[in-house]
Amino acid sequence: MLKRVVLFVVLCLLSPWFWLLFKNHLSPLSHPGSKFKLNTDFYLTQINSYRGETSVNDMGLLGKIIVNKYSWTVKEGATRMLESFDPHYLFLEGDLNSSRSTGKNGLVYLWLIVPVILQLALISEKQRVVWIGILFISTIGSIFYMENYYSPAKIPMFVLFNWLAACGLVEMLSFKNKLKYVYFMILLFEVAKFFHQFFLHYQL
Amino acid sequence: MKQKIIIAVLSLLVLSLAVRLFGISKIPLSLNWDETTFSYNAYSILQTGKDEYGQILPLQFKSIGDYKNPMYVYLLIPSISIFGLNETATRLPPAILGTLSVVVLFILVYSFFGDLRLATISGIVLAISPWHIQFTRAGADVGVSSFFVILGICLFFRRRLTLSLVAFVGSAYSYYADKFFSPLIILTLVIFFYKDLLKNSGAFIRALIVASLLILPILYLQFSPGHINKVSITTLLSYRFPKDVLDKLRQQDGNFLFTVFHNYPIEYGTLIIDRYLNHFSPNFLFIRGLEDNRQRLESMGMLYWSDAIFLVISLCTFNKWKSRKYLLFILIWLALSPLPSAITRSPVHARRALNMIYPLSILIAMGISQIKRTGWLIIGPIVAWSMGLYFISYVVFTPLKTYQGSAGWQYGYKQLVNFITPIAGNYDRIVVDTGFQGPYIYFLLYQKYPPSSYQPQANLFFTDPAGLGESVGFDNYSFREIFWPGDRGTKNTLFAATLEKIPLKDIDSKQAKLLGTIYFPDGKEAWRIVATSR
Repeated sequence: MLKRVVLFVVLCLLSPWFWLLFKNHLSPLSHPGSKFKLNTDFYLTQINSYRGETSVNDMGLLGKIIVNKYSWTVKEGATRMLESFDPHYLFLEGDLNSSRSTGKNGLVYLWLIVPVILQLALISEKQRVVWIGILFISTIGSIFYMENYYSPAKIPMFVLFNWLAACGLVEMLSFKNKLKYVYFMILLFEVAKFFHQFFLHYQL
Repeated sequence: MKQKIIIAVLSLLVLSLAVRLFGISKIPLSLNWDETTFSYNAYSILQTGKDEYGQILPLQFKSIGDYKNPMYVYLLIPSISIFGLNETATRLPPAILGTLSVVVLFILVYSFFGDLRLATISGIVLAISPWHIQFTRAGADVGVSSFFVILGICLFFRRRLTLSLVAFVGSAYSYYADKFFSPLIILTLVIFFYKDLLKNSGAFIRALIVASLLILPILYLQFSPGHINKVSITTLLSYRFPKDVLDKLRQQDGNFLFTVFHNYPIEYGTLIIDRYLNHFSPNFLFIRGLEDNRQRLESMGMLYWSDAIFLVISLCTFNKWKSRKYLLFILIWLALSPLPSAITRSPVHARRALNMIYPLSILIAMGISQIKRTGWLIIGPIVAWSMGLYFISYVVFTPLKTYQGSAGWQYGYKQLVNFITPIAGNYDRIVVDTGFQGPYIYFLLYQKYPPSSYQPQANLFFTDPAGLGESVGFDNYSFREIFWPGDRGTKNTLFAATLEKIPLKDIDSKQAKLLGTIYFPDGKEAWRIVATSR
């Protein structure tokens, strides 16, 4: 357990999300625009436009059932939660807002996906259901913000991801296969690449 | 049991065929230029035994300069000879092969798990899959190719090795991405069954010899300049990072750090990993799909929203399935499928990664089969809403957003040809603007222009070396950019151009007359047809 906790703390302290979200958290650029509301011109126009198109094509009733304020609210909420698991966002480019992203790194390390998958594969089916459920629920904060890919709302998910990764890494350490050293070298390189990007190229 | 299997297969055939043939000539609402070129070349082969450039029974069709694979063209010949040169005939072969893919998937899943329910659900999932429908309803060569891939896999599992490898060769004759994917999946199959293959090495060697002989005719074409150029402009091979960006990085890093962190393997490797992972992104699969108009479904991704739930359930309950070896194969199949797309320039590509849909359908079906009756009370409405959204998206929203231009469905050409053809004889020249790309092939197709007359006139020109070509013209037709200030002085000529090319205020009634306008489905102007005075 101690190994897992230590590794978890180390992973959190080295994580891109930790550095990016805390470094600029006072910057006005980093603040979210507005809270999510469906009663904005953008969504109302979108809904009305779709409804108009279905009416013209004699599918007005179906249009009303499928495209309405309630279904669109759920859809937009689900979008914000699901997009938290977008690999491009998570591992490669990060937040759309440059105050929360170097543009060249994700919020968590790509190669941590290996121990995370390993850990999810090793635990029991019940635990897996619980973990996947918790991971999904941990992104619920995203639905309160208008901005897509708003990272501060997803911090609980990053923390859980790091915990799973730490558990998986501990399992990997016990492997006898020497390939694990190659993996750890790659992971170290990725960490070094992030800090190199962060300190040498990243400017807000 | 046999009776149940027959009923399941027949039901899947009916469902799949109905979904693929419903309004096939009108949705998508027009033929795009790939479909048109496939179709006209098949017509040309049917009439003359030569393609549009006069090549006898080619194995690579120059077409609009994109050097198309031959299988779809030759499969179109019977369809065109029965139904004529039209939308239905053009879209029929992928629709039929797409339907057969559903049955092949059923057989494959049944062979894997011996579970009729799971096999039937997998078939239904594929039959109504938005991703599969997108490329088997509209005439896409990938719809043909992916049938051969799944057929090859199924035959391999049933130990029909020669037929299996012949099917894989068929995929190589059909679509570029599968020339890369098929060897990978064959290698996987060989690794999976190497013990069986060793026991049965004679049959495997025989199959390899047959497949090698069949692949030979197109093998040398892979080194033709046209093919090399296509590979070069499509893949990341020729992509170069902007020099000023690299210079700035080098300046900030110094030589050592620059070499360590920004070397080619790292930078290109990152690009490839990014593209690969994009194919598993919820954004691509469920939320927004793609920007590319021909692959796009408005307001959704390539799968139903509800499939997200089934996939998660499937992954959570993976241990329940006993056939571990086959489960592993399904996962490897899924993992290999986006590879051909990952090495191309597009960040994500549904057409090149179509083979993903088969393992995904099985995984979705596994998730569905785990849901208990009470679970359906919650999930049922989500499934109904997702399917409703797909239906109105496919039939109403998407056509209205994707009709325009060469990246879309190129709506308006049929109407333009129908407008111009009856009056074409009244003018010395007809000039059609190439702003929407590829007008010549639409004139050839909708006029059913005799291929024997076009072949001697065929002349493709390129304005952009990385782009596709345009025909110079035929008879009194010419296809080029219209420059109205210069062109309006030309006597007795009919011009067809986009509204930007001939502004209404620039049509001087002494010089020219607006004869008609072709409109897009949403009422916007597509083409202006203007005649200059004699």
